Amino acid sequence: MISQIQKAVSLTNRTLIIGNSYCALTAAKDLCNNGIDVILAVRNGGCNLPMPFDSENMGRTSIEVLLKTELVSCTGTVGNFEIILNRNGEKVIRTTTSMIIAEDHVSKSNFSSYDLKPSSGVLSLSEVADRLNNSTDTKKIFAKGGKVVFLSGLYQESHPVIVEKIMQLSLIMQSEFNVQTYILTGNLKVAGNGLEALYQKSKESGAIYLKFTDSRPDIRQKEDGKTCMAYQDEITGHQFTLTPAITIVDETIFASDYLGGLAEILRLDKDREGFLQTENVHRFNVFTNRKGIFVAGPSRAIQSRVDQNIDASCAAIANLQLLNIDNIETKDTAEINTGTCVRCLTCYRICPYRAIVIDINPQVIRQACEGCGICLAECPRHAISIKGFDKAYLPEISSKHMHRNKEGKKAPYIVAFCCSRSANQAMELAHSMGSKLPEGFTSFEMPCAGSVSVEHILAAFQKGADGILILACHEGNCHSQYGNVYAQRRVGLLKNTLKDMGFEQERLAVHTLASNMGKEFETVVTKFEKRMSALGSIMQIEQKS
Amino acid sequence: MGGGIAGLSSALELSKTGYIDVEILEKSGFLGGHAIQFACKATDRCVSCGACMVEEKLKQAVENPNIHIYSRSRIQKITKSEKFSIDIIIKPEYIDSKMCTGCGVCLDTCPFEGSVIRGFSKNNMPLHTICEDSCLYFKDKSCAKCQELCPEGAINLDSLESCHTSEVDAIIAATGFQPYNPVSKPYGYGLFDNVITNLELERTLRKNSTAARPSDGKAPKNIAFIQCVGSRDVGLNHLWCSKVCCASALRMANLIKMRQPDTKITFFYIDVQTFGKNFQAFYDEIQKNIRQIRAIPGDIYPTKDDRLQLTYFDGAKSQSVDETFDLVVLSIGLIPGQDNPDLAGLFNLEILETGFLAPVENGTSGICDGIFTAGTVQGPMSIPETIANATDVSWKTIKYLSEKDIQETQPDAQI
Ligand SMILES: Cc1cc2nc3c(=O)[nH]c(=O)nc-3n(C[C@H](O)[C@H](O)[C@H](O)COP(=O)(O)OP(=O)(O)OC[C@H]3O[C@@H](n4cnc5c(N)ncnc54)[C@H](O)[C@@H]3O)c2cc1C
Ligand code: SF4
Ligand code: SF4
Ligand code: SF4
Ligand code: SF4
Ligand code: SF4
Repeated sequence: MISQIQKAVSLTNRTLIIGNSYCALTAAKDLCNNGIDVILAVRNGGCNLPMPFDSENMGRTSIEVLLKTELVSCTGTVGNFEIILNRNGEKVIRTTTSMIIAEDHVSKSNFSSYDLKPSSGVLSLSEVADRLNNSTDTKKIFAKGGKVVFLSGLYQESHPVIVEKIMQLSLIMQSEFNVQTYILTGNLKVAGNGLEALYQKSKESGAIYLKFTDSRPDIRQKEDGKTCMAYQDEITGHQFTLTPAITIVDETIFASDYLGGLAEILRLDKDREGFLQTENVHRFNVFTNRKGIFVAGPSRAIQSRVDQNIDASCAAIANLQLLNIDNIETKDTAEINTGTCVRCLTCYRICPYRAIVIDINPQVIRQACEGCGICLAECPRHAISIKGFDKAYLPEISSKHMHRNKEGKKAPYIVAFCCSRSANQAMELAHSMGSKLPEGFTSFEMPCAGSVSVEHILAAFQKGADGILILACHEGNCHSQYGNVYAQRRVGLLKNTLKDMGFEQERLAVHTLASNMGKEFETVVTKFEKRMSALGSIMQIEQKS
Repeated sequence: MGGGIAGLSSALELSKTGYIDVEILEKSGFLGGHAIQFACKATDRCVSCGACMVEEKLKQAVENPNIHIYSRSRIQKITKSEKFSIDIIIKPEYIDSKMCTGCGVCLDTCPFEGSVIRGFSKNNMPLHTICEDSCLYFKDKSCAKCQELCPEGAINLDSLESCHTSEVDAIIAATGFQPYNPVSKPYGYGLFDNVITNLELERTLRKNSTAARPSDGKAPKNIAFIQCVGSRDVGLNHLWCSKVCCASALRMANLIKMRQPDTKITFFYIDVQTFGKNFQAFYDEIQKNIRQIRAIPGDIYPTKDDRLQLTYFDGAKSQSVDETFDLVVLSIGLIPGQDNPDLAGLFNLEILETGFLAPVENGTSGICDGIFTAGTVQGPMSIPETIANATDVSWKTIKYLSEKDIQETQPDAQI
């Protein structure tokens, strides 16, 4: 086996890891130890973590650490990214096979949400954690003894990563410093490994947890900077007041702002919170919309150390899998006919996988193209084709349909364009569950709902379809991220055209389904057929008009 | 070992390298484990529950030529010399997967409920399995209807068990969890038809797409979800949060609300856990549709009109309140798998205080090198977490294999 790895390794050489997180360092070491050269580019002077291996040679492979280095540009594609970095003003050029982004997240203290100002009596969680590591400092904090209050998730939902920190600190304070701690919390986030057990342990050590549901404590900051709180116990209804020596305010974790810049340079999709991975389940674990660019650890979501370790492995294995050519090649990819192309750059803008580059003319990078067909459906000049997809397709509609019409069937003729990953799977599931689909129902498997072009739809109508369904993935679940959105938009436009032509708009509809929705597939199709039955054959309208 | 999402993910990750062959030994007749039974919980938008990923991975695994699947198999003997040699016994399939078309005639004709069981995924062939424990043929040969009526002649009830010996370099135990059985809780599960578990609700939603009362098949007007049943329970010494039941319940509640908008839903909880990205927005939204009560009901009684009365402590009023519901859903938690003690014994794996099995760092912590654990055999995890965990374990397995390879091929090499 090792010979296979070595052979593969000689094909590739290098991975660029961008980031300062624990995850970035772990992935760097791990890849290096396993035969892959690594360049580690860290934006700031260095991370808080030990960096033991500057330009160290680790056996067969090497690691190059570039500090104060930012990504400037990146061209090329998986297997051959051309990278320009800025290292403290100096331009550094490298070529790499793949890229891993693992920049740490940032925490900000929630002083303002509690209407508090930092003072000697009001501290942030990180500050306390730092000071607890420094023994002389700790004595100073706890010299006067007294009570310590943690404020957690009262105005914003907290996160297990933060709650774990709070519970650990409380446990240390209770058991080592004999300080009475109170944790004032909304929903206590214990959905992390071992957190419920830690919670029980900290309660046993004497920590008092006060949970708030509908009410909130009344927190005021006194002139000496310390706080005074009044609250009602939710079970007994009694009023209490607390005047802690120290109030510790929780934190919220955000995506690093560096990620925004990286997203722009690398043309990556972001989620609503600025992480470089959408909620799309097809991106599990470390995938982005670009082949060969992985996003791991705190650059894709809020993560604990344990999660970051796992992500480092996921990124490493994804890297290794790139060496297997089967994982890179797509069977049928798009091709641009430069003769008809007018260089409008629509395809360049919309390709969700960023597989189209501009090199005088737009060109499809074969390795990066996933064959989704979105560009083909959007190109105003019909300059793009995918082998085995467009040319063979439209005649197929007609022949199937002609066959039906000759039989003179009364059942409405319904054409469904089904996304291969979702609706087509759901249809097969419906069949296997014994669902009966309507008689005049015909379906076509499409690589993505976004590849159903206006021409497909018009051709189907022309051949006498009474109703057309476009069955796509749910919003946020499309493998091509926006395929379903394009489908919706196209149908929206076409509906107006239908109306102008005197047809009912309902004859064209988009529905979303997942691969496991066999029953719902049957429901959608049956309902649609009923409606089309009620509307009557499209031929009649055509004759009338 | 185990063909749940953990086993499937590991198998795929390893085989995608292009040079590792994988065998999946699955105890039951179906792949996908618990998660293949779940419904899609998207409303207009996908809520990233991960259920469809199980379907996708299952499809990829059965289509992958480097993954060999042995369903209905159990280990008889394991020996280790250079490689592991695993003798497995494979219970007969009775239904020939190459001939079966999944038409379901066997299920329809079987007079004895529970003898023919249908799987959840079309990608699992054969789609049906015959259960010897209840089938009359195995009791007294009084029935062989399915065999006679199968239009493809695919059923042979006299098929025999077979054996197979696997020679492998490493073993990943991905045998999953078991759902907590709530009969011992005071919620009348097993006594009252309209007390069901979240797992049962998942299956119903997958099959019928709407919720119904088991007692009369009618749509429930008023549903209660009770959280943390069998988790976060000091009395049971279950000192863990199952992590997935808040998400599962709230997503199902939201889905029911969309499909059956007249349904009233109440959610009884201790703490609502954060799940998925952008949780705050989801949570703000859901609070508008679903009544949330931070209390765990104590008792349940059936009423004369076939409804269920719950008693709980209302913090806002500072008193006990009785309220009736049409359907009560218990959010049961994930508890250690049945086979964990045996596995721990067989492979000398560390068993945690909770009863789950410890993760194995480099494959050399057991007496036998080369054994790993993956997925919910280690503790509660969601589907995405399970996939990530299984991928991590695959990477550790690869590292183990290549180190072993170096040692074997170059005994003096420094590692
Ligand atoms: C009610 C409920 C709802 C949930 N909803 C969600 C949700 O919405 N989203 C989410 O992300 N997660 C959800 N989960 C969690 C999800 O079910 C788990 O994350 C997932 O099933 C774990 O997969 P696994 O492969 O580790 O284990 P399992 O699914 O338990 O699979 C284990 C497999 O191993 C087999 N096996 C067991 N013992 C042996 C043996 N000795 N030899 C061979 N094979 C064996 C079993 O037959 C099974 O096929 C939910 C869980 C529950 C209980
Ligand atoms: S969309 Fe069509 S016309 Fe426009 S640049 Fe691309 S291939 Fe050329
Ligand atoms: S087919 Fe899809 S992936 Fe390929 S170039 Fe066109 S839009 Fe991009
Ligand atoms: S099954 Fe879950 S992840 Fe898949 S589309 Fe439905 S909601 Fe989204
Ligand atoms: S033999 Fe009879 S009881 Fe057994 S599975 Fe077939 S039909 Fe059912
Ligand atoms: S996820 Fe929610 S319901 Fe499940 S154990 Fe945790 S807190 Fe309880």
